[in-house]
Amino acid sequence: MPDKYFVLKLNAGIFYKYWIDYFHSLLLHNNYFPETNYTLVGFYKENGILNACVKQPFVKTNEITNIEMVKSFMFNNGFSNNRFNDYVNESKGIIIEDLHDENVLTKEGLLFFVDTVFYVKDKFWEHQTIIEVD
Amino acid sequence: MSDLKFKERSKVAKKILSKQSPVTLEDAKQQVARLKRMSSSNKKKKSI
Repeated sequence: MPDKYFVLKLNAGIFYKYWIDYFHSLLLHNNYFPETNYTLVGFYKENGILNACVKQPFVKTNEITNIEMVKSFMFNNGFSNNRFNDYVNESKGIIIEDLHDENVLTKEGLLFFVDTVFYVKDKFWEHQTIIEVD
Repeated sequence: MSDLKFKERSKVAKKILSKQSPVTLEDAKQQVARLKRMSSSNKKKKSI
């Protein structure tokens, strides 16, 4: 697809302790939400701050996201809402944060997850070698 | 929608996106501004 279908995003990794945690977040996002997958394009340094540059399909919409719909969808997929816009699946050891109405868009009544912050707990590494998405 | 599983949602989402028309930079900027204006959430992670 030509670039007029994509958006470029910079991420300084400030929500993560290490860059590897950010890369894990990208991989998990791509696994759970492949239609808005991130492609790592490169790195960009500005004012001494290193940013990862990622490319993602742009979701064009005029609809407003109902946050209760996000909660319901996440709940039906094994995630509980532990605070604000953050969700956890204890059995898989996966946390997804920041699912507010600017990061989850609605198009034709369907939710599109365009900005997610994934973290993994120790539990994640105990049994999983392959990430299974239901 | 909320009854869908992750995989089912992605399948439908791909179909919807495949029909989407191209976007201009101006359209994208307007959408971001509109979503910001209409957002009802005050609990967001703050980037730099």
